[in-house]
Amino acid sequence: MRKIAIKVGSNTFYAINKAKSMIVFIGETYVALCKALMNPQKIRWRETLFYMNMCGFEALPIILLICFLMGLILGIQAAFILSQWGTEVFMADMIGLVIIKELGPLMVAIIATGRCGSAFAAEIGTMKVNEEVNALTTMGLEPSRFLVIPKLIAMLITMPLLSAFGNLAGIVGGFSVGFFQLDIPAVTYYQRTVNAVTVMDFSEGMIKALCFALLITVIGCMSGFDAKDDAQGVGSSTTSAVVNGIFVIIVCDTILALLFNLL
Amino acid sequence: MNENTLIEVRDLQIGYSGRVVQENLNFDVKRGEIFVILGGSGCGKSTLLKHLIGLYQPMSGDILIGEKNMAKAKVADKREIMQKFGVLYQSAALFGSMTLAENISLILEEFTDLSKEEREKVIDEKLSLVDLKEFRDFMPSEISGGMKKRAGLARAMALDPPILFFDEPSAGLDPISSAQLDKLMLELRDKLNTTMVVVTHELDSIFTIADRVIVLDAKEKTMVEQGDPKDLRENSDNEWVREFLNRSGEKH
Amino acid sequence: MYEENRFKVGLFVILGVTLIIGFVFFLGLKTALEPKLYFHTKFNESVQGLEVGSPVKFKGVTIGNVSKIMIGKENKRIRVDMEINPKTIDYDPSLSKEDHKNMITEEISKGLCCQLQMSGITGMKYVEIDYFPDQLHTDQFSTYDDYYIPPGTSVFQSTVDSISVALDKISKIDFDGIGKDLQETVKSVNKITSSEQIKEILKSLAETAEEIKFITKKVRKFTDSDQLPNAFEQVDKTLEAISELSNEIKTQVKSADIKGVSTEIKATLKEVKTAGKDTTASIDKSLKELDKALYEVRELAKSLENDPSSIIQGSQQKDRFAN
Repeated sequence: MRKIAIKVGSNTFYAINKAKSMIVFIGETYVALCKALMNPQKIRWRETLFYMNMCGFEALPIILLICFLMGLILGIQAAFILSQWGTEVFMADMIGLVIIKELGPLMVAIIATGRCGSAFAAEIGTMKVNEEVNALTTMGLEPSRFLVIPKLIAMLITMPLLSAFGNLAGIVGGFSVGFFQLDIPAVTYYQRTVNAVTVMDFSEGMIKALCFALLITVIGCMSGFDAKDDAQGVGSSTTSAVVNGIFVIIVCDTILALLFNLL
Repeated sequence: MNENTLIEVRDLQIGYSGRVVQENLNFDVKRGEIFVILGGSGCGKSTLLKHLIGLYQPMSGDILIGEKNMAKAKVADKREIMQKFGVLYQSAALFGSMTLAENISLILEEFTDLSKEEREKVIDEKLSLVDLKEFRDFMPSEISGGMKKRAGLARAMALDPPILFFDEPSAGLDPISSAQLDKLMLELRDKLNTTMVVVTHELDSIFTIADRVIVLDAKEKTMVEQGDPKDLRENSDNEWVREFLNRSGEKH
Repeated sequence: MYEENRFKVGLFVILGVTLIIGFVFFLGLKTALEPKLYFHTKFNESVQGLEVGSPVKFKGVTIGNVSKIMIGKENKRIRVDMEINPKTIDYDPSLSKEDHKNMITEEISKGLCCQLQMSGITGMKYVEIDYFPDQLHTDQFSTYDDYYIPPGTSVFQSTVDSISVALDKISKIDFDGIGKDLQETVKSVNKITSSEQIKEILKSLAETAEEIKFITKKVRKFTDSDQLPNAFEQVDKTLEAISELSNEIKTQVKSADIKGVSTEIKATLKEVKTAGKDTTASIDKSLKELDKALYEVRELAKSLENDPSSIIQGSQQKDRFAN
């Protein structure tokens, strides 16, 4: 019993410390981002482009596929329930709203955590092992600016774009169920979706995507900087980047959903 | 501070997470000399180096580099001090995502107002110093360990710093590459009058390059000797130091 | 290393931005950018179920949506602003605002007004614009580019209204007055029935009636006279008239119809009174008739006495009558 209490206590302490250091890191990153945006010529645009390619373009196929399938799954389940009351046509409303407000950005964020968050952690962890982070420091370059900002900018740009792609794919997925299985005319489906989903809903999704972009980058990079200076350290930092990343994203999503509900 | 003294270490106590690794460290590094920090494995010589270059915060004492105290400096001041020296890390620490030229160019872009052509000129110059001019567009992963070290050296010298720090420069190199590097260091010192602080346990290197050494001991947790290595090999009062220096050719 | 990515990244960014703009455009900006016609109305009734964004329909065709709901300054009526998409109503932009205003005023004079209607079972409402010529409005609140369409009472409202009117009327009925009147009526009826003369008349009437019944049984066997049934009819009529009278009183009291109940009750009272007079008169008449009938019966009896085939029965009856 005592042991359990101690374990719980120390884990809580650890979690609080982790959260605290994350907030500190977010703060530092924010300051660095502001500084970088004040002198845009100091931003490592080539790295930024590289990460945009890595996190954006290269992630596109998997994101399109997964979001399409999400839409399909939602469509099948919705069709089953809604057809019991003969209200299949409301499927368009439901899928449109759910995908654009919630699932599109969330799925994209989870995939991005797996693809980019882990890559960031591994990259920075390896750089740490190779003393490259130290080298940056002694060269007088802030590692956070040098390593985090390009990733952050890339993610902030690509995540909303990816979410938009994901939204489209998800709606197409739902539409294909509606069109092929329930014989809802394409125009009807389009009209219902456009009527049901407002610009506010869409911007809600985009705001979520931006928040997720920040979190994925920060958690990925932080895990990398926290890595122990060995190969195992890099491995475990990658794992923690993904696990913590997904956890924090879902927590953040919950908070945002509640917040937007209040508004 | 003497005009000829570039680095001055006073009553330095180092360690991490509350554990003292070395204490009572007092030594000077003079302009233009090759200063070697020597010691057995685990005595904390690499840790000392990391304190000297400002990566770790000392527990107490002062590290004066030029006129500034690294031990008491704030982050922004530290960054300023750091521009006075270059560091060649054990693994060379070249940025894996950039070519050799880009590795050097990066520093020039960050700290100078040179135009692109001028930067190219400096890059060529630095790379020819270490005899790597034809490899300028290679990625670090495409060149050998010795070349990496030389490229790292070229990068460390990009801003022509008065001081160079070397962390185990011969680690992971074959004897010939290692000897080449030693030769290069001597050449650079003679050519540019750069002060060098080297951490190593490679005895061949020590006798080739060192003007002065300090010897750290893990048990005493302090420096036990300092002076000319050849002199210390014969006349040190400390038996362990004599034994250490006499094991020429053996690796520790 | 970075060069070859640029095309793909560029393509990605361009497509993505296009997509985002597309989403924004089709999900709202498209309608936001179109020119709008602005209408408003002022409802007296509760707009529970109507929200900003609720559809506005003309005879069932969605032509726009509610843009603002607020409580108006004067009379605390609910002002509902509507945005109408001109594309849906065959709008002629070449006409001036004044022309439109006149057009709308004309339509309003034909009964154009806004009605709240329920959409589905969810309790959500929408604004239906249609012609309700029975609900003409003359109030004018149109401004330069914001046209006023008067509100019409909705189906629920008119239902609720008529119920409340009915309740109102019921509550106005003077039950006390009715009670008093009734008492008076009963009293006066009592007076009539309790007067000695009437009592006697009734008594003798009852006796007479009994006798007549008795006689008729006998008489019917022989009868070929037309006068006798006539007399019976008269008595029946009298009795009927009395029961009708009481029925009428009952129905008058029962009916909750409503306006001028008291005057009606008074009329009833008068009727009852006149009916009472009538009754006395008709009873008088009946008695006279009865006398006549008795005389005739006597004559009949005499003739029966003379009839040899019924001597025994005739003499017995003759004795009875004689008493």
